[in-house]
Amino acid sequence: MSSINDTVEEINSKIDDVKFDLEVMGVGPEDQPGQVVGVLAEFESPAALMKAAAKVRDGGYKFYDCHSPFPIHGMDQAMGLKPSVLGIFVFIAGTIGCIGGMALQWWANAYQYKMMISGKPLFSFPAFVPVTFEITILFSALTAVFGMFHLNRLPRLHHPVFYSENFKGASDDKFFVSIEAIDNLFDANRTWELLERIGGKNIEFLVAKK
Amino acid sequence: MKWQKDTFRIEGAEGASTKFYIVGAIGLFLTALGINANQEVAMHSYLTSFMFWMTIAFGALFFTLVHHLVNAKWSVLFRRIAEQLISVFPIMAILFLPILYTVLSNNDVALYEWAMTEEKMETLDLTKQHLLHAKHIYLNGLFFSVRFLLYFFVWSVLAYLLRKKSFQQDEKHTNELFGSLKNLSGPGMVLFALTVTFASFDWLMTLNPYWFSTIFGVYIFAGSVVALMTFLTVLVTILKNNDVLKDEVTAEHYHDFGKLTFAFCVFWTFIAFSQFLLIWYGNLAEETIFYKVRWDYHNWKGISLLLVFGHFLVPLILLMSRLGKRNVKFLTCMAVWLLFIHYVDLKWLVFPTVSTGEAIANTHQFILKGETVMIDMPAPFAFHWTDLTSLVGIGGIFLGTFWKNFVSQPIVPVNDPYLEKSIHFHNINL
Amino acid sequence: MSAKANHEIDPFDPPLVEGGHSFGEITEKVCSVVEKKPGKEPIYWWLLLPIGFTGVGALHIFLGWLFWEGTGTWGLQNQAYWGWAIVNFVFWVGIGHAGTLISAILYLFRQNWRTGINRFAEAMTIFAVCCAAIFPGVHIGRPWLPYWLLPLPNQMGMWPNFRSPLLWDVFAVSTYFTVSCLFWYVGLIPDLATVRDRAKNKIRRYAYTALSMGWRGGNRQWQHYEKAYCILAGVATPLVLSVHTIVSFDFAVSIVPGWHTTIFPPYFVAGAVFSGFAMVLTLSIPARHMYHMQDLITMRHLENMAKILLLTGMLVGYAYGCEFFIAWYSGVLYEQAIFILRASGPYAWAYWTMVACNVLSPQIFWFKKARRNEFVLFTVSIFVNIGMWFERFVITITSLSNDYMPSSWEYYSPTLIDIGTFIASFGVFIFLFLLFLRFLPMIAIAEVKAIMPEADPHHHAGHGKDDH
Repeated sequence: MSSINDTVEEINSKIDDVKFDLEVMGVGPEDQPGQVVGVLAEFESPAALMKAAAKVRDGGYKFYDCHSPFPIHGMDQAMGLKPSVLGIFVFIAGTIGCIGGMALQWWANAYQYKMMISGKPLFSFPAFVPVTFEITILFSALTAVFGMFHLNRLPRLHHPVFYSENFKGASDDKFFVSIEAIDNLFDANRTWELLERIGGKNIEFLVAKK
Repeated sequence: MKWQKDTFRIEGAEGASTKFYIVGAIGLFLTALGINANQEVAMHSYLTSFMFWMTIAFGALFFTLVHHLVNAKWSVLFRRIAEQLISVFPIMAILFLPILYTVLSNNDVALYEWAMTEEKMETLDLTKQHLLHAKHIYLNGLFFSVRFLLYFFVWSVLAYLLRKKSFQQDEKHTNELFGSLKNLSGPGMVLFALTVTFASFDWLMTLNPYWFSTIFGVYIFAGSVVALMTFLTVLVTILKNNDVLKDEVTAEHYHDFGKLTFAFCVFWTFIAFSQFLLIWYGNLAEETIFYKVRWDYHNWKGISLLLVFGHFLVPLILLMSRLGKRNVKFLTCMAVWLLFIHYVDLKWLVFPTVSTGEAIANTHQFILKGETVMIDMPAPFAFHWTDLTSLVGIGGIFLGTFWKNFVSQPIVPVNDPYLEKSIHFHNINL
Repeated sequence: MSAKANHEIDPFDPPLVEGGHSFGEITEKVCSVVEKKPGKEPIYWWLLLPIGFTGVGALHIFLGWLFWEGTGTWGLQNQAYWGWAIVNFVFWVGIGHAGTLISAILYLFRQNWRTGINRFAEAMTIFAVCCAAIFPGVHIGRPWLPYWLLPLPNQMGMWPNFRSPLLWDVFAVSTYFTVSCLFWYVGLIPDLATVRDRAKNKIRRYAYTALSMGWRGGNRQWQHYEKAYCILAGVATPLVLSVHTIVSFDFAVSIVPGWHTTIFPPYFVAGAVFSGFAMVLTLSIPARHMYHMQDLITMRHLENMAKILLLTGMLVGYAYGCEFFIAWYSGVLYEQAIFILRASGPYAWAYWTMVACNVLSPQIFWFKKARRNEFVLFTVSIFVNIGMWFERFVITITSLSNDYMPSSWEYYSPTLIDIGTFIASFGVFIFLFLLFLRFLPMIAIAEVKAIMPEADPHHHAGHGKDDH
């Protein structure tokens, strides 16, 4: 019995993943002016936000986020986020850079354009280390930054939270929980009530504008 | 061994230090027999083992000084371990006496070629004679002894003051006392840098008195910190397995051990590679001889490559990820491996001067241009039984002294204002 | 973290943000600088702007003249074939090391005080690298062919020589520049979002919206963001070491006496950090007064920088000493000769200026009073800037102009074009820095907030903002 429930849950979560991808890539439903696309609630402090995050997570929501002007230590656990996969991207890119850098130098100086200089062998491993190193670092750094942009789906100039005027404080000194309407569990009234129950202030619907 | 959690003391473990001393004495006795049989190999073993334990003590001194200088908080739990490790300097000075004796008795076979008598020097070829004469002001028995006394004096006094003030803090913490530890550490660090540099020149670089490298002191320093961090990891794991600091030391602390081990392995590589690249690129025979004897003959190439892999690539790859650093068992295994590699590194520095009787002609390009110096061809790299006995012998005395002091005091600075912070410490990044 | 510590200020760990500011006040303090109406900039900004602008113009004239006439307009000689150009290059690249050091290495070592000065120092890094790039860029002989330095396929089937340290330099400096820019930009994103959210007019809103890429400050974003920042710090740390290491290879792989010594890599890195921190002090002391940032760039920040100056000053002193000792110990006559010549020959004045500025002047920082006196800090930082320039001068010129053949020895003097180009490069630096101060938040707002005690979710709300 539990296995059936598990399977259903698995399928649901897969649907959510697909939805998430579609939505962030801008393929999701067009916001109609006047349509409620989410709920936003303000919280007092980092501590309150963290408690709220855990409760929204326990409520089963997937399309929610906790906004703060600075990263809050321990929030990942509170929201139940999986560790970032960025490290793996960077490791792969760095490895490619390392091998590619050395191969480039071998190809250029020991194979394609053989130039005997300063009595060094054509393939001078020690002399090729510095450039190999630099290319490794360059690849890793570029991957770290652009990989982060990809994982965060940046740039993305339109998002439901930006419909709120109050949300401008999220980059200053305010703390918010937002829950988006595309979530399976989303129900304007019930979601509002949940946010109210867990101590949210200044709760508002995110209403799409033109 | 009984762990008193409230007072941070280990009770009923004094006996272990006596055991260490006994094992040490046996080891030293066997090494003495070895020296009697083959003084060249056995003394090289002895020097390697001596440096192995000394580098741990160097690392501990550095750890203590840096801890105070940067007002570190996470490392408070381990400060006392480092402080007790540096209590070994006086006894290590005594263990240095056999090495000093070879120099004072003009024994140029056992370790240092430059220790030979004036008469014997006359029999050398002219280039060697010239160089040894030029360096005689520095490389002579008297000045060598004076420097030896000076180094150990500096280290012992620093250790004494750091320990005394730290124990006073256990009685009663005052800001003045705490501040004075920090004030002491500034000049202490300057003295540390100078003495360690010249000690490594004196004891290791002059094994081949015709070779020189300005970075040599930094190389030894880098290895020392790796030695200390790995030793600390192993020691803390052993303590934890015996219920000591079981709740206080967490994966967070291991994570930091891992990070520092990783960082200093990379730093060691940076220094080692810089030295290698510059010498390789410059391609002057008087400098490249250092790598020539460690690459061209017998099995030395394999050992040189082992260092590249073991001291750099293995820790680089395995300690890069967060998981590797936070897994206690895994990190402890890595630490044991790195301690072994550190030993090999020292042996790699010391043993090429064990000669086979054959010689390599090395034609100088820079010093006395065109002159040829005959350098001893190194014996193959091999482990000798004296390696083990001297390592155990010096280690027994080292650990016995450490342990005796360690269990006589609380094993953490109990009144340090950051002790709580250190116990509940969490890594934010990486 | 005993109960006591919550009420008393820890003398060994004083607060990093003074004045009991709330999050909102910090935003206001930093952003208001960027949001001033044109013409409302501080008076010093207006006084410095023409200087910077003149520098930019003068640089064009000097470089134009150089391209027209050739490198003969510089004081280069047969022996001293690397003159001020390389000295200035190494000087500027060295200054460019503090930024990444502060953002990367201090980050990894959890030195939270870096947040007050990192934005600043990173900007300085980028501008210093820009200035540095001028000198080798115009010195390549045929300045219209710089792309020959890159491994680009071409119809002549030629490839660069990867065994040359000068080519390593191309890779090192360009990688460093790229990574520094990335690092700087990543750090800026949340702050640009703050400026965006406060923007009053359309142009500003559009500009900062585009620059901040729609940052929402959600934890799902912060999570990857922090990971990226951490990885960048991790890769930038060896990078920052490698750049000056490779610069030192330019010298040390050759067998020129005084250059060919194995301590050059760590010695150059220490020197670079030393000069970089000196420049951060030189800039931050006036800037904190100009913009009233004393609560964010506190005495503690300045004191810590003074300590780093003392440390790195001692490290370069250590390297000078080691070189001297090994020159004697090695038995190499040429090495000995060059070091004696440095200390007593025709360039002894430069050598002793270097020692006095780099080794002696920071010694005053053994005293806490000196470390907390802005006048002393500023003066010493200027001395160090001068001393570090002379260090590169001494290394380059003494070893080149006195080579193996005394018959070819000559005293090197720069021409007016040399001097002018160097001074003009300061103008470029000042100009870029003034633009930075005007248009971007000079302090990392999000990072400063994150290290305040109130940012900790376990912080006791009852203590309020006067608790640190």
